[in-house]
Amino acid sequence: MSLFFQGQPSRKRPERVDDLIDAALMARIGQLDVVSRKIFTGKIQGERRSKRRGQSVEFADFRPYVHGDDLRFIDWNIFGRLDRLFLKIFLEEEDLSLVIAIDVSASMDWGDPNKMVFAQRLAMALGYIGLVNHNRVTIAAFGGEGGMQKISNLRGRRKTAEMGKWILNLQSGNTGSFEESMKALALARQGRGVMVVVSDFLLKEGYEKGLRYVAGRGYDLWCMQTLSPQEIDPSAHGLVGDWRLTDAEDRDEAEVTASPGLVEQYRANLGAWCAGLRDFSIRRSIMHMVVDTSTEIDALLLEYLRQRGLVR
Amino acid sequence: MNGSLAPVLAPTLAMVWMTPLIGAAVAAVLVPLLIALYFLKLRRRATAVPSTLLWKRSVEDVRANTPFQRLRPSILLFLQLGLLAFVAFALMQPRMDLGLSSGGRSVIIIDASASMSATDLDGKKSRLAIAKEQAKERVEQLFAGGLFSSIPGETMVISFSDTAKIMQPFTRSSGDLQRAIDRIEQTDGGSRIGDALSLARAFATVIDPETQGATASEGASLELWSDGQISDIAAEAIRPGETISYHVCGRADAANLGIEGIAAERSATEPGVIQVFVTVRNDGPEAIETDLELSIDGSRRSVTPKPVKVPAAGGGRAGMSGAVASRGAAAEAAEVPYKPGYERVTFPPIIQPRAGVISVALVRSDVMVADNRAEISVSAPRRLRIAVVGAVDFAAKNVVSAIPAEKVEFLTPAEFATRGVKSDEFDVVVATPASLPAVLPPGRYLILGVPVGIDGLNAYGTKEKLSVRSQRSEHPLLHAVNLDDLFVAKATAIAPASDIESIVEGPDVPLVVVARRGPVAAVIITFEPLDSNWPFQRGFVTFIANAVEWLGALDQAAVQEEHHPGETLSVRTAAGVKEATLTLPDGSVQTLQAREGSVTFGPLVRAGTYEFRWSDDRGEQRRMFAVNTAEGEGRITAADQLSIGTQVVQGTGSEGGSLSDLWPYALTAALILLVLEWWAYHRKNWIRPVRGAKPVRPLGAAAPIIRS
Repeated sequence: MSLFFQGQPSRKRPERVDDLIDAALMARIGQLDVVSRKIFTGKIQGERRSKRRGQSVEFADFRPYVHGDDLRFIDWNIFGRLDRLFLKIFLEEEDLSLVIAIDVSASMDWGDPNKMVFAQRLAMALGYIGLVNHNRVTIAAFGGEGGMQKISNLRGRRKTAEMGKWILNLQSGNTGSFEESMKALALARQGRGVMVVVSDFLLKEGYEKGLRYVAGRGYDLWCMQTLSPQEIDPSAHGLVGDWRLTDAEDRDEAEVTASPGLVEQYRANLGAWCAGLRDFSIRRSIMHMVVDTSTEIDALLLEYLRQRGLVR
Repeated sequence: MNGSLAPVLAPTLAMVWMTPLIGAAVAAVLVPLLIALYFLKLRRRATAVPSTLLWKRSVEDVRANTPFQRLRPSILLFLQLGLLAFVAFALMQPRMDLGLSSGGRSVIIIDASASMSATDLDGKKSRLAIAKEQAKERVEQLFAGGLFSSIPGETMVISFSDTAKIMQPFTRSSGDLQRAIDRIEQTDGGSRIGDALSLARAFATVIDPETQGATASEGASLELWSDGQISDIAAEAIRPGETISYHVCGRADAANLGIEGIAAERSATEPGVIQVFVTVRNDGPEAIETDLELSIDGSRRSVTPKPVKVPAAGGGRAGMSGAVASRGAAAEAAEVPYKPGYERVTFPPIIQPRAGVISVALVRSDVMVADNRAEISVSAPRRLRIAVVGAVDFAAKNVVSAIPAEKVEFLTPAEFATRGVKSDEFDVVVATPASLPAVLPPGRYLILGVPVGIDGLNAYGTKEKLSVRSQRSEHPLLHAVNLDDLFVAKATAIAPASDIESIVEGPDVPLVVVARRGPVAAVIITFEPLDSNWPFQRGFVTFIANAVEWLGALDQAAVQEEHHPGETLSVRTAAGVKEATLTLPDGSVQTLQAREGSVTFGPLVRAGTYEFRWSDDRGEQRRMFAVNTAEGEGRITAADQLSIGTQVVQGTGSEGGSLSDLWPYALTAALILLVLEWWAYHRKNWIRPVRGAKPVRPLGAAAPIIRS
């Protein structure tokens, strides 16, 4: 285990799209699709089966006819047998809006493996899944250089390179608040879909207001809280002794004597912080996950996110 | 005194600092440094973290813009301060002192009496030698701090036996004190501490230059090395402000056998025959048998035919160790006066026509050698030369005439005035007051009336019809004299000075006194014998004979003589003699100047034989004196406590110095604090479970990272 705090962290920056997602990973996740727990309406007919009953070929259910229903969907065979009017209901196929919002603030550009790189790779992988499945993919980056940036409405496998380059060009920075970014994303919402927010959620101003903008507004919201191993267990990575800790975002300083007791207290506070986010998420039907950046992306997608139901 | 009711003074506890400067310097440097370290912020390594949010919540150090932080009460700080305090305390080399305080004045008083020569402690060294060693150790300890020691208080050294002697006035010089202690010599005298206390108090008293008033010195402490057998201790008292600590020298169960008294008497009929009487004293708890041998001038002449059994001592605390005696037994024993065992031994008559020194020794050794031998000098048999001056009544005249003497001359006052000045012509002068000159020439007088030539008699009238109220029967003058029927019709009333010894007392006035004024000694009868019925009693004859013999025996005409340390020896020589030599018991020879026909030497220190030699117109003269150990010194049982006045001072053991080092305890306490500090530090860093924290389980983690 490297003593992260005792030396320089390794910074392996992705330089090419292949560094974000290689062919092997593409092949493995190409079969996956993003799942929404909600009923979505798309602007154009997509490849997915919607929970909304509509004009698809797949039969879903019957319901009694009421005045004003389209006569075309009356099941005349049943009328002939029962002498009552029933309406055939078909599952409607529609496109899915997949919004991936990644935090590129300075606090994310930290850790080994780097949290921002991890977020970039996760966004790339999820975006690739969305593109492959003809979903409307929007990648948004907040908190970085230039404030809120996004690339919207990508669709189709051929947009992979474009999306990859855009993600590669993201720079960490210190502008914009989480609340403002989430508000902007909520206002720019187009249709319904799945929204994945990738951040460490270590926000001094709090995450509650920002998440309230995007929760329950037609998005099936996932909060992927990425934490580096150094954050989860600092003492195991060399944070022992007396330190002056500088906040990567607001340059605030905290002087600590990293005694075992203090570190344990820190870990307890981190646990409480994460538990607070989880409780907040549960109350608003938000899926919350804490992700260690040392986790392999393919394992994350193929095992954990599949188990949790984001992809299948 | 009743020891059980008297307040018991515990030895005063005081702290002596050997090297206070080192400790103070260490404390002065390290304690502020330690506190400054707590004020100073730590020098920290800097690193960036994603957010200080959680750290700030967790952190115990608060950020401050000043270089110093607020001093918060910290158990670690207190433990470290305590640790430093103990280390500084240890570096000061504190010692628990029993009695001697380093700040005030202190007096080391060492008993050099005969009983201190006992070797009961280790069989080789005497009590005095051990006491001196301890006192020197004590001085060494007091001055042991070296360069960094505090300036100890002034210390003084006094030794005492019969009298006290200042060996070293108050000084701060360790070397002077050690040398003074070395100079203390063993004496064979008694133990009287009164002079020593007076001297110590006189030196310790500080005169205030403004008021010219004497104030007791602050914290004057007396430190006494003795065996506790001090004759006048009960008459002394501890004054306010004084502390006294008593170092017991000797064992409480020490037993001793010694010769208490010796007497020799020439036969009245055969002057060449001497009979020697010896009293042997036993201070032990058991009866002891011993042989005695008698030698004259060093050659053995007689040995007791069978061992003499000396009975055991009884009463008091004889032979009873104070440590083992129960309280009840001690109280019971205290009610019975102490009484040593005595045995009188009479040697068979010895033919010794010449002068000589008779010495009797125990054929036995014990822990105290000094009193195992007693000596007495006897002069050659010589008959007295008596002058009867003036109108002495017939009765006395007849009695004097009947005394077997070399010559009895009857002189008129005028004849005596011309011949009497030659002091060595008559041994005894019997006279009436009126016949004597206003200034008495040196000599020994039996005066039948109150003379004017002797100071201190203070005649103030006459008294009539007197009978005897009391008499000192033990006095040699009254040996075999019965005064019960004496009736005095008229006597001169006198109020004698305190140094005049009254041996027969009437109702208000003395009847017979003994006065000594330098070379003049006189037995004075305050009434004329014919004014009483005394001449018609047998006692009168005996008294006159006793008086003449006793007066004659006061000096060289004596039959036998015995002296004790503390006394002064005096030899009458012819008027023209300028100097004499004196051979001391240890063989050393001193030359002494003769003044007004006498040579004096004293006070005596050691027991043994003293020999004067001088030359006059009759050739070389020689005179020997026997000096014996002081009476009462044979009791060598060491007292474990001293009853000074109404207070009891508990003695401390003689086994070692009474200073005990405290620095090991201080270091031990410092070590304990160090362990406590280590424990407190690590306890602070022990992981404590935090309530309410739920485990965070990141995806991909095999196990919960954060436990609750």
